[in-house]
Order: sequence, then C-alpha cells, then structure tokens
Amino acid sequence: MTEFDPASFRDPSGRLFRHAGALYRTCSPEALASFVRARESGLMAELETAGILVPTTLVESAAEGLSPAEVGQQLLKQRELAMVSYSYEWSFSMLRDAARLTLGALEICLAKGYVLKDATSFNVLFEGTMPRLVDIHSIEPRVEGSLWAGYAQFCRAFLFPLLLASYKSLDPRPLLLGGLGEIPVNEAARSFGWRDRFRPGVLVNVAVQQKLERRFAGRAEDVGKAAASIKYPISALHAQVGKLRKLIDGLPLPQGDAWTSYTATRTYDDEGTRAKEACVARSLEEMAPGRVLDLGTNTGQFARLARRSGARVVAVDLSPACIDAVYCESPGDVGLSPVVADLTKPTPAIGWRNIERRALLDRLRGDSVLALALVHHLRITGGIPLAEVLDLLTGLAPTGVIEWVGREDPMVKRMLALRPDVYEDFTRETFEALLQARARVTRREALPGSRMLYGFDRR
Amino acid sequence: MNPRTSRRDTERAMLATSIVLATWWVAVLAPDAEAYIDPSAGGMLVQLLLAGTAGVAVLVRLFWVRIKRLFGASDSAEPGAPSSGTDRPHDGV
Repeated sequence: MTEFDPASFRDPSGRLFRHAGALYRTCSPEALASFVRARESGLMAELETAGILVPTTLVESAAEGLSPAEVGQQLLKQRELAMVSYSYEWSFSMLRDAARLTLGALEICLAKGYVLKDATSFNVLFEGTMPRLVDIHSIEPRVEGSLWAGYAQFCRAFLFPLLLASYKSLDPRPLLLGGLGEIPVNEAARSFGWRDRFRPGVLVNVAVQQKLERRFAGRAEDVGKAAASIKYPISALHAQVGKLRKLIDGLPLPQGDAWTSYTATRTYDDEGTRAKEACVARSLEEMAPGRVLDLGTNTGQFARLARRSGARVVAVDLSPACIDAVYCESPGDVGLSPVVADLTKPTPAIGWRNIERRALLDRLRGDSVLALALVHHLRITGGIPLAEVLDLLTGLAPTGVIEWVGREDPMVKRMLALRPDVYEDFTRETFEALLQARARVTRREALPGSRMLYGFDRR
Repeated sequence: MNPRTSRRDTERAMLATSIVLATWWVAVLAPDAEAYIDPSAGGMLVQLLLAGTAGVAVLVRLFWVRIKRLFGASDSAEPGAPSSGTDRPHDGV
C-alpha cells in the first residue's frame, strides 16, 4: 500500500510519495498531458538548465516496481532533497531568493504560454543554499487573457513577509508558522502604519489589496465576471512580474541582531579559536561523517570547517540574522543547509491532522552533531536540564563534539548575573557523568580559558 | 519645450492623478463589507488596477452602483454571473 506524503492531498493534479529513495508524483490525465506538452515545448529543459526546477523525469510505474493499478501507468520521478526546511525556518535572503526563483520560473513559463497556478513557498525547497522549484504540477497552460491566479498567494507567502521584515524589522516567521506559510492580507495591512504607504510596494500590494478584498468580500461573482471581461495581455503580466521583482530586489535587509556580532564580542580570543578549530577538525577527521548538524552555528565558522572536510552540513541557529550571514557567505553550495530554529522550541508539525508539515526534529538527522558554545545557552537561558540537553544532542547523531563552557566563563557569569542560580546540575562533573551515561567519551580536550571539548560516540 | 511633449505630459499627469484619486478613494473612503472574506478578490482587483486604463475601467464599473448612489441615484443591484473560486487547491510539495 502506497503511503502518500501527508502534505499532498489538495491538488487534484497528483499526489506525492517516496519509494526506494526517490520521490514520485502521481498524475491526473490532465496533469500528465500538460507535463508532456510542456516538456515537448522545451519548457522543462529550460527550467532545469536554469537550475530552477529539480530534474523531473516521466517514468513507467511498472518499471519502478510500483503498482500501476494503485499509482497509475506513468509517474513523475524526482530526487529527494537531503534536508527539507520551510519558509518559517528561512532567513530574509533565503525567502527573498525563493521569491525571486518563483518569479523567474513564472517568467520562463509565461514566455512558453504556461503559468504557475499557485505561488506557495512550499513549492520551493532549498538544496543547500540553492532554491529549487519542486512542485511540477504547479506548471500549467495559461488561459489567454487571464490574470495571474497566484498573485494573491505570492503576496501572502513571499511579498508580505519580506515587506514586514524589511520595513518594520518584524520577524515574519511566527506569522508564517501560524498561517501555514502565509500571512493574510489583513494582518499585513494592520502591521503597516500610514507613513508606510509611501514606501515602495505597500500602497497597492498591501493597503489597496486589503481594502478591495474587504470591499468585494460579498461580491465574488461580480469580481469573477469583471476579471473574465478583461483580456489581460501577456505584456501586462510580464510587466507585473518585472515590477514585483524590482520591488523585491530593492528591499533593504532587516537590521541585524545581537547574535551577528557575537563572533566579534565573544569572550575568548584568537588563540582559543584556533585551538578549538584544530580540535574540531581532528574530531571531524576521526568521525568522518557524511552529514553534520551544526547546532548553534552562529555565523557558520564551524559549519564551513565541517563543509571543507567534505561533509554535508545542516547549520541551525535561532538568529535569523546569523543564518542570513551563513546563507549569503556560501552561495551555490548544495551541501550547506541553513535553518533558523530555536532548539528550546523547535518548529512543530503543523497543518491538517498536525502532520501536513513535519516537525523540525523529525527532519533533523545526522552522522555527527556539533554543539559548540551551545550547552550553557540551552541550560541557563533556555532552562533545559543538562540531562535533557544531552538526550537531545546524543539522540540526533551517533557521534559528535560538545563544548563545555563553565561558570568561570565571563559570558556565563553575565548570564547568571540577573537570575537566581537554580542550575545545580550545571557543573563539569555532572556534565561528564551524564555524557558518559549516554555514550563513550572519545575526546576530552582543554581549550584556553575554562572551556573543554568532548567527543562522543554511542555506536 | 515642444508643445506636443508638454500636452502628452499633461495628459499623463492627469491620468496618473485620476488613478491616484481612484486608488485613494478605494483605499480610504470605501466602506468595508462585513461578510465572508473571499480569499483573493482583492488580489484579482489589484491586478486590474495594474493593468492600466482597461483594468481601471472595469474597476469603475464594479464601483458604478456606489458612484451612482453618490450622485443621488437609487440602488438597483445588478445580478452577477456565477464564477468559480479564484484560489485553486494546491499542495506546494
């Protein structure tokens, strides 16, 4: 019995499932005909050559060892991307690039008489730092003279969060998480003040759209009639896409946060950094992981070190500004996946039946974990008991390197200065005992200052 | 200055002004409907606004009842043709 992906049920064009390490999409007769025509027109090849579309091939289900009765004679096959992240885990530049990719795909489609029927951010996945369009069924022939039906969704999934982040320095991720990847036009409009209407893109795309939406709420038939009565020329659609692209390109980056300057303000010196780098490099050589999880990556110094060792890396940090720096520093790297997430409250599973979009911890697996200068933040700022912290870290990967930063550290002193010290378990002895109870300790190395690096292996 | 260019500029300015005024009226003065929110009526209408003169004409037609009422005419609702929903089901996977 084929188990379909819990996120693929809305689009009648086809459903998604996994089999023998590959992704398959079933096709309705219409979707199949549309794909074949689009492929013959050269559209698919153009999108793939441009690096926009994940390579997609049409296969016979029988030849793939699948039941034609269950999934149809012909299917679309794609390779599965190693790390799936959602727009509520992307930094500003990631969201912006995913928006650009959507518009770029739309422009190429329009030139060949096709269109993207929707514009949700879930149509885009990141392969490392490269965004890719994955939802092939989103491409369909354009009805001549029609408006772009995906415009409003493009606004909710991409434009509104980008405008809010750029103009208001508001983190759009909680809104995107709560809204299943979209910010409703009302919420966007209410977040902007009067003066914001003079900033590029706000008046028409946000304020006017919201007013028109509310004004014509009860007159959908009239709107449908009006939209059908006008022959929207392809040139107008190209111009509209061009304007959106220009608007998005011109948005200033949101302001950074305290974490981006962490590397500059942290409490240890160059000598300490070099020693730590050397030790982590040696550990990586010994562990030889295919995939590394760098938790609390900050601006990605050790993620890049792991990447140089040949591993694929998932770099996680709670700071959107840090992840933005990680992302922007490694353009075009298919092996480095940046993710914005707070481990004390990792992204939950959301959507229909609470399984439509998966939880972060279900997607986060590696061969080795790096937790450098992280444990004291989780224990003291996050309030997570040490035993729990180590359960998580040793559970995510069979091997890893964990840095211990003790009470003597100036940063820890600062963290404890304004809170009652209720962290009895926060001692090196307890930490070591807890780690030993979960894994073999393979390395115990002192760094300058009072820091220690521990290697573990629970295989 | 070439009088022709200047006339074209004036016409362009007038067109721009009327679009701005229409936008202003729609954005600020038009009262809200208290009904079920259609998911993307606004999105479609904004595109009409962006479509230029023809699109604005369609918008004005949509507002016609209200404009007539503004000048003292009584209500006579026009029956609307049925249309399908504007937001298509989608998965995005």
